[in-house]
Amino acid sequence: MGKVILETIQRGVHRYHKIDSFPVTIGRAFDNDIILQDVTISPHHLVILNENDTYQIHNLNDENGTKVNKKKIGNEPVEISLPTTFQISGLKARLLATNMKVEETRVQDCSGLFCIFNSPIWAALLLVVTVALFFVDRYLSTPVVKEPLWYLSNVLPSVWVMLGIGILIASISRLSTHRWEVIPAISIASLIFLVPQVFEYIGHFLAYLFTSDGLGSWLKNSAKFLIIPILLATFIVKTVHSKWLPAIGIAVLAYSPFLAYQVLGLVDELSLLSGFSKVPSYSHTLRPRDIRLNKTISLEEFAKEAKEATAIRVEKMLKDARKKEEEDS
Amino acid sequence: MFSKLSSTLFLLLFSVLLSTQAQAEIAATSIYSTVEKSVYQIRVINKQTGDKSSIGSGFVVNKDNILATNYHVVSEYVNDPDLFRLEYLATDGKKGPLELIDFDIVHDLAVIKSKKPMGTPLSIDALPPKGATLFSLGNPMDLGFTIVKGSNNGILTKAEDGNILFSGSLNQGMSGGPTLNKEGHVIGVNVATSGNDISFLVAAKYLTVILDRLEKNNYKPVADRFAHSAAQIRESSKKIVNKILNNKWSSKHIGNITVPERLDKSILCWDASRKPKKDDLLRSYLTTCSNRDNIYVSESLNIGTINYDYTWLQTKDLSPTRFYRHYEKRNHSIIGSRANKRDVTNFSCHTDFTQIASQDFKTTVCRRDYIKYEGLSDMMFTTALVGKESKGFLFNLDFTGTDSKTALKLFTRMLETFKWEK
Repeated sequence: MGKVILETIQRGVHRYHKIDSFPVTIGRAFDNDIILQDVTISPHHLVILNENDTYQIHNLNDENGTKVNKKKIGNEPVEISLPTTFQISGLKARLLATNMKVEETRVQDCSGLFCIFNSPIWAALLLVVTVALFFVDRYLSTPVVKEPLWYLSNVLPSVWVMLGIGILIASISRLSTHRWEVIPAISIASLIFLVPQVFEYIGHFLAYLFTSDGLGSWLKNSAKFLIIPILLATFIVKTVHSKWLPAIGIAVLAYSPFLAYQVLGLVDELSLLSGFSKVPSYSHTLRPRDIRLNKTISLEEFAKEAKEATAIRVEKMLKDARKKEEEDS
Repeated sequence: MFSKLSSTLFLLLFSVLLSTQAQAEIAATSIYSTVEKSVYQIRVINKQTGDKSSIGSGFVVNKDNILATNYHVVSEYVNDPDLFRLEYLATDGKKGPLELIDFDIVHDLAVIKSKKPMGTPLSIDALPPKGATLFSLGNPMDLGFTIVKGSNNGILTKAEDGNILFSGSLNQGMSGGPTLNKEGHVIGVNVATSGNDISFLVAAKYLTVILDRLEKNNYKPVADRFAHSAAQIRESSKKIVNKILNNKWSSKHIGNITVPERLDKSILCWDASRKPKKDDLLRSYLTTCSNRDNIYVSESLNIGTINYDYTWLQTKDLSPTRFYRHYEKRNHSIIGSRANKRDVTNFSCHTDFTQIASQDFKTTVCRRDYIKYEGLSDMMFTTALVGKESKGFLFNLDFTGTDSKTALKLFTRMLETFKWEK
């Protein structure tokens, strides 16, 4: 008969107790074989028995009790098989066989795109490009002559926020992996600011190309909602070596305060689209380079097109509105 | 000798003045006593609470049970007959119900009917010459019936509604009351005031049109009020736009483009350019034009506006990318109207690239329709010059309460007159 391991998970810390002989007593009192320091655990909480090649859990206390398969057990021994997850009061525990297979080792890889994030040169480059983009954006939207210092004072708050996010990401990695993953953190923080801007630029280009602002706003929203959680999840997978699913969960959770803010904006936008708006929605985009798919048409042709296109949609809206009014009255 | 003659003239003049003033006073007292019994307070009563929600004045005209007032006095009742009812209050305190039979929403007139005889009908007369003394009657601020003396300053030529400028002090609550000449005949209906003795009257000839129509159909009430309003507004708008289309337009240069400026005498244009600052890298010029007509539809809705503006932007120092950031920001047109979702549908827009004055423009037409007023639309047009790296031009035109086809015609005609100058 092989040896058995009792794994207890207390406040996220895993502890392993090798069990060589049975019965093994577990509780808070010092005369137990395994002593668990938790006030919700009784002095003599339970006994694990091994009789006739079977394992049994025998609950000894009437206080917080023991749960096997999420069900509270009585004071009679309950038969279990290995591995079994059970709960000693509030403490999660597993009874495992020593010959049980463990998870495969994850090799610290620097493959594909993530190598870019791990390299200090790339991180510095991303940071510089992002900060430069802040300057360019501010410069483009200022139609008057300004001193360089004025631009600096305008751009600095965004730079501080970006660095703050970098430090936050690095701190989280320090807490979870005991390593300061500063280089990837800076890269990710830069990308969080850089990617939405790039998407916005592409969206703007496409909006003019197709004479439809809808495409641009779709790209902008996808950048807001998807890119940042994806970047965070990539960071978690690559630095903490977590699995994708929990990594996405953590990324969404970390981003949720911002996400809530973005959702509010999107809901407003959607309600404007679906509800009544005093503001006409049309393609406003203008670009210095007149690159577009729509050809220039004559005024006469345009008037004909516009008359037909608007009439069809307005008549439908009118029909719906009148129908609704009839229903209301 | 000369001095003696001039003093005589002055004396004569003075005596004439004296006698005119005395006559006016006599006229005012006699007019008041003559017409007092033919003038009423018109009240819109909330059926639920029984309290008055708005008040105005009205007078007996044409027949002893027919009264005239302003459309805006009874508009709440016109728009919501289920919630409101009409009532009159006589100078002696008597009250009674009224029924709406016809109205002219464009000229702000309404004709109502009582079941009982209401007094002697006032007769309608032509407008006396400019400067003639007029007497306006009504119930200002619910304080009781008053008579206001003023003078006729003729029909306003710069507005389409053809109202009379009355130099006298009209106040709220006097709306719908009659303005009489010295003979005690109605020449206009009190309608609005700008304060400081600048008041406006609806010319009585428009009331005659309604009364003639009613006489022909035996005073039969209007069946569909909204359709009636819509048809009147549509016709008025069509008339105005067609008149504009037939006018010879003045033109102006803005940047490299020559554009039509004043389309009609009812339209006024203003320069609204931003004053340039020393460190500006971008120059912009803006001209805005608008008509002064406004049709009162309800407390929250006025329609009949025509607005247009031209913006020219140019730069020597900005890069094309930097210039277009600002140019694009300016390319946002909205329509100034208080219409809400109960009044209108959403806008439906169509955008494409068109050739105007041998240049490429990004042009948009937006239309929304009035839900209750069949065939009435708000139209918004906008066009932006494209393909020039350091020049931008925007033209916006909007109409409220118009016929969509006529408005589109005016827009295209305006664009056709654009000329590009190098």
